Amino acid sequence: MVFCMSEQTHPVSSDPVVKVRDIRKDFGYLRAVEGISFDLNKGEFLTIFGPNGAGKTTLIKILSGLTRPTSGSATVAGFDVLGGSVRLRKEIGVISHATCLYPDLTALENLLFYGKLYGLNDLEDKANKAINEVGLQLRRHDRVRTFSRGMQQRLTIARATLHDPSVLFFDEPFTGLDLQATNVLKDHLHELHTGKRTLIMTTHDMSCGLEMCDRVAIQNKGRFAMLESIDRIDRENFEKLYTETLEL
Amino acid sequence: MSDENKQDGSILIWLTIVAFLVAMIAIFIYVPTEQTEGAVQRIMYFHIPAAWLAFFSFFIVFLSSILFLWKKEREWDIYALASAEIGVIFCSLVLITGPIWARPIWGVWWMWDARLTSTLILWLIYVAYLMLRAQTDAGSMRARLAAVLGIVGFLDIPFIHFSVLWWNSVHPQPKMISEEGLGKGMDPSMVATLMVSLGAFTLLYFVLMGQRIKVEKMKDEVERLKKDHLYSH
Amino acid sequence: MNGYLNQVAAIVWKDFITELKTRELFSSMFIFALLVIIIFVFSVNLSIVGAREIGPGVLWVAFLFAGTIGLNRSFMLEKENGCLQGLLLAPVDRTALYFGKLVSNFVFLLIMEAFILPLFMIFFNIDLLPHLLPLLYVILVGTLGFCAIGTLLSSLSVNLKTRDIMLPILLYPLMVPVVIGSVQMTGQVLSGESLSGMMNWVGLTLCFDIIYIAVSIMTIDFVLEE
Repeated sequence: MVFCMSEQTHPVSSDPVVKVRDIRKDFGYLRAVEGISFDLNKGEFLTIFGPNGAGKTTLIKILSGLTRPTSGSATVAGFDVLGGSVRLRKEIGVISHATCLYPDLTALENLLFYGKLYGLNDLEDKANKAINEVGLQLRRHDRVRTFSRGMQQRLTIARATLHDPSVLFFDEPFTGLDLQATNVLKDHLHELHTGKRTLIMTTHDMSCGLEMCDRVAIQNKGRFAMLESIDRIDRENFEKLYTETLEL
Repeated sequence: MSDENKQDGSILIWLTIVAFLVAMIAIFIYVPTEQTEGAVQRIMYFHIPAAWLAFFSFFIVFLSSILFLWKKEREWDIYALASAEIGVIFCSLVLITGPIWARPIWGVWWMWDARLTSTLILWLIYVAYLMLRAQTDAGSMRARLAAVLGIVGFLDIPFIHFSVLWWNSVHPQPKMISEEGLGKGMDPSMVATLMVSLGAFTLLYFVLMGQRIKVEKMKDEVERLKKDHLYSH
Repeated sequence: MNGYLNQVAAIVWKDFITELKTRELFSSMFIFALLVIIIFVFSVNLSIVGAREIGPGVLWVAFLFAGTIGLNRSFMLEKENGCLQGLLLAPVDRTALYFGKLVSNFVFLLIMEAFILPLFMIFFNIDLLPHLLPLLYVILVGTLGFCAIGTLLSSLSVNLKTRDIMLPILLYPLMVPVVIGSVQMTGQVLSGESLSGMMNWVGLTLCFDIIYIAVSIMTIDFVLEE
């Protein structure tokens, strides 16, 4: 089944940025993702809710080219995820609860390292600017090991967006963050959601997840049990809808 | 391989039983006792076929591993696993029969003879291979890592062979009477017996493979049913 | 090609500044190698067994054990905070990751060996200086072989729960040809023979290096896929 958007909150080009067709992923006998299809246009923000083990992380891993799907096809930013192509990886940024930061490097060195891997020009300027943007300018030369969880998460955002990706994936970004860090992350999400970038987020956090998105999906047992535009969702009663959907 | 085994499974098993009966008769009744070594030399008819099967099994692991990485089909992963297990068993048999044979001939249980030493290292590589499999959860990750090790391990065999051989030549080496030049200088009856034994062991390999593959597929099925049951509640 | 080399260089640069700050890798490898040598000295009577006979073996066992510690540390670094995932998401060819780690492992090991050799010379009372060039060749080839397969296997065992213990269990049996070759060549070099007199060993270890670098390039994609 292919879900298509009727209302669009942002101006879009005709071709969807994320195109997923009947993706399946088996881990031996275990089926983590089962027949998911959807399109996402440029600038849209999709939030995927679902219980543990629903296959949300696997879906993100497939879309970011880390894991091969058993069958089906998907293109992200015009590149086939099956090819695991280097060009696809230039177009995407991934933020998960793993920060991917080297604890013994400083904030700046971490960004410089990743910038070199992405082959960026004017790296020094870009890295400094990115550090300023996430409000870590005073800690630029401190080792990441000395950072709090929230600060590390902010630096992770700088790391994942340094190469100006057009598609961003957030895999449970709120896990392990305190209230203040959560708020900072939300602010950044708002800033990133400008219509230029396409975002996909998985989360358990109902309020955070519903706040910013354009579309909502509920994933259960590897399938999308629901995929709706946010306009059609009653935010007040979403929790009830969520439990009902899972029981279906 | 497995489809054939399913159909001809019982025929193959009976054929193997008959082959082993013939081999036993040949080894213990038909073939004459070797003059210098005595009755213990009869162990050769187990030792050499076991060694052959060990190498053959590891070769199948190598092939299946390449095919798995190429085709990404669970089938090849199962073949590699089954063959590695059988290979380790026969490798162990070589390492057990070797010293039993050596003790009366050389007067010691273990000589750092090139063939036995190589076999010991091979045994270690494939035991590590099975340990690797045991320590990773079922899934494509386990299959991939095992396949890489299956390839890396087999390619090491020529290096191990030559390095151990040249290393060994530094030390005084006892002459292995019966393994020097297989078939050469051996009585025709001994060659025939060895061939029958080799044939019987090779048949046994396919019987074991068929059974092991069947068991592994059943395991997959059970796990799948378990998961289905779990999800449906 | 230039971009590829820059990426390899970036990984080596990252490993080096980490090491310059922590000095964990060097100190642990060096002290461990030293301990291995000392324990061996206690386990054999040097007045009965000639230092030249036992020496090369002890040296290579020390390198091998210390190198294993280095490999384990080096990939632990990538596993902390899930950095490996960050590397895999970067637009970097997997072989560049392999070469980056191979180069930094190789150089770290060589530095450790450079510090161990003078101590070995003193403890075993063997004058290495007249044989330095062929010895250098043997150490380079032997260490490269160790790093080629060690880097592949440590990126493989990083996925395991018991990676610390599984790495040597996987690595040592496969390393047997290089260990035998290196020990034999070192022994002959130290007794004054030239490398041309042991072409079989030179060929074997070189082939080992080349084949295992080639195999690693071909299989690293499968190892690093999640």
